[in-house]
Amino acid sequence: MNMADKKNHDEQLERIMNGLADSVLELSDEEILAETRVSEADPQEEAERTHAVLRQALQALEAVNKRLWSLGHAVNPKYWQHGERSYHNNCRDCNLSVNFTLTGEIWGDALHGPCPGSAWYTVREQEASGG
Amino acid sequence: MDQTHPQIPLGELYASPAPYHGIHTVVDNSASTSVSVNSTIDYMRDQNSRGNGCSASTDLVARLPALPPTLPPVSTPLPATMNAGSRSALVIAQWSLRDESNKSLMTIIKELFNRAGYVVRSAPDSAEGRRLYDLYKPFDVVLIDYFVPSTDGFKIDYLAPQQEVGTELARVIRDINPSQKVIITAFTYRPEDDVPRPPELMDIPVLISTLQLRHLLEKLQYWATREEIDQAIAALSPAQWQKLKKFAEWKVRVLGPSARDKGKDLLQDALLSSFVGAQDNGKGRRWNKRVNFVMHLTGAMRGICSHWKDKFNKREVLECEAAKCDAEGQELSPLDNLGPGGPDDTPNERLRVAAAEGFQPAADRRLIAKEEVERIFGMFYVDEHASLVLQGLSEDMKKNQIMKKYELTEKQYDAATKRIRLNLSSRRNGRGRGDEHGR
Repeated sequence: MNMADKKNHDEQLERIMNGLADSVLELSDEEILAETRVSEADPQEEAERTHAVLRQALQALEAVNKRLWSLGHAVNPKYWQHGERSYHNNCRDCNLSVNFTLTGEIWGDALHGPCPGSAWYTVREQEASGG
Repeated sequence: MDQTHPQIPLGELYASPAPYHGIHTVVDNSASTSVSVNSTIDYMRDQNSRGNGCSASTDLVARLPALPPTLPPVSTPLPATMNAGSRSALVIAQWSLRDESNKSLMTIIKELFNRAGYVVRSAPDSAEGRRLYDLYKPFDVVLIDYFVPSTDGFKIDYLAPQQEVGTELARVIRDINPSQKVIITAFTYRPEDDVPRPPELMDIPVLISTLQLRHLLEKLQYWATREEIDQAIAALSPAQWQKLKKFAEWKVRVLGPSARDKGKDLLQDALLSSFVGAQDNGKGRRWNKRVNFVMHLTGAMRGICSHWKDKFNKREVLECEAAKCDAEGQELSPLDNLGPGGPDDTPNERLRVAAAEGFQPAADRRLIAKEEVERIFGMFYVDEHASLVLQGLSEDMKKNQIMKKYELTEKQYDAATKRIRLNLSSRRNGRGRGDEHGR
């Protein structure tokens, strides 16, 4: 088998899966729920579970943004990268890193202290200390 | 009509994001009238970029170049398509700038709002702005100038050198009404990303040129806020969740068997990117509310999955690098690659990370794809309709094309597709339904 044939299989698989993905969107509510019951748990429970996980992701993002802001860091929201088990970004002022998981764990050098590149934090810190 | 300086049709002016420099006469062809606009803003910006950082001060006009003769201003009727007065805007600003016909920047901004169908209230300072906001809230949009003056000792909490009353006022208004749509004008800045503001206000669009206003107003009407995305997520029905989940599961199978469990990741990334898009000054994967939320998310998933696929393709190059070189670019024997990766950014290390993320080397992936395609066709070899549907899909045909080419009724097509989905899902879930493909 030559390389073109192998690549062709890759594309065939992609087209089949894309077609099946699109076919799901054409189903009525009743049909998709009936199909779910055949292969999985109660659709209502399943929906609630999925919703809960995804809400957790959004809350984790909110939490990490607040934490970064409290330290004067600012990240470009477009640059969150999905890594092996977490999302990763860097402060655009000091370039220190920050990571968060969807379960709410937050870590990275940016969280060890105030952003050295941020004038905002410095001024607020001075105000707080009466300086 | 004065022909000595560039003329820009008003329609094009609104549509074009490109900045114009110098003095322009703007011609509204549709209304057969003309309005003269001096792009003083660009001049201010030029001064700013040269290190002569200038705020909207009164001495600025004195520094402007001599103006060419201009036509007297005339009031331009609203285009017939605009429904004047259907929306409300509050403009909080004090601009001393005037165009060559002595028309103030405030008047020009108000005219632009009127043309877009807005009734405008205006306030010259933060105190009046807050008073009007309290009286008439909510507005469809509140436009606040970054340098709006404070006449009542308005307290800035985040008193940083570059912080101005405008952003603090925006924050106060957003505290009162989190879903209030706000625009900040900062005509002396370029680009808008350079306008200092707290991260919590990063979702507020910044206007650095009057040329952008019309376009921005149109987009603002349809861009979802974070709150609206939250509401849309909460409103998804169990059936819609299932559609999204199943769609994601089929999409990731494009990436090969090892990516099967990434369906939830894909949906999660689509939601996060929409959420992030609402914070990103109009850039990124923003939900346009004219599009059904489920369709928006499926579109986002298509884009993300395509990006993941590209990542796969890049791995092919990495494999070649990893096979040949170490971190310093020294050629290696094939056996050298059997050991652990070196420093973090070597091709070997990137391959290791890729494998941990579930990405397979391209050669393996192609072999697996071949086996997978053969296995899928093999599962349905006694199911004529399913085989025909699979054949059509593998040739990139759409439903109607498949039905027409293989003379299938819609009922037959739908039933065959359902059997394919259920059998493949069951096989994936390890329930051994591979032999249940008879019709």
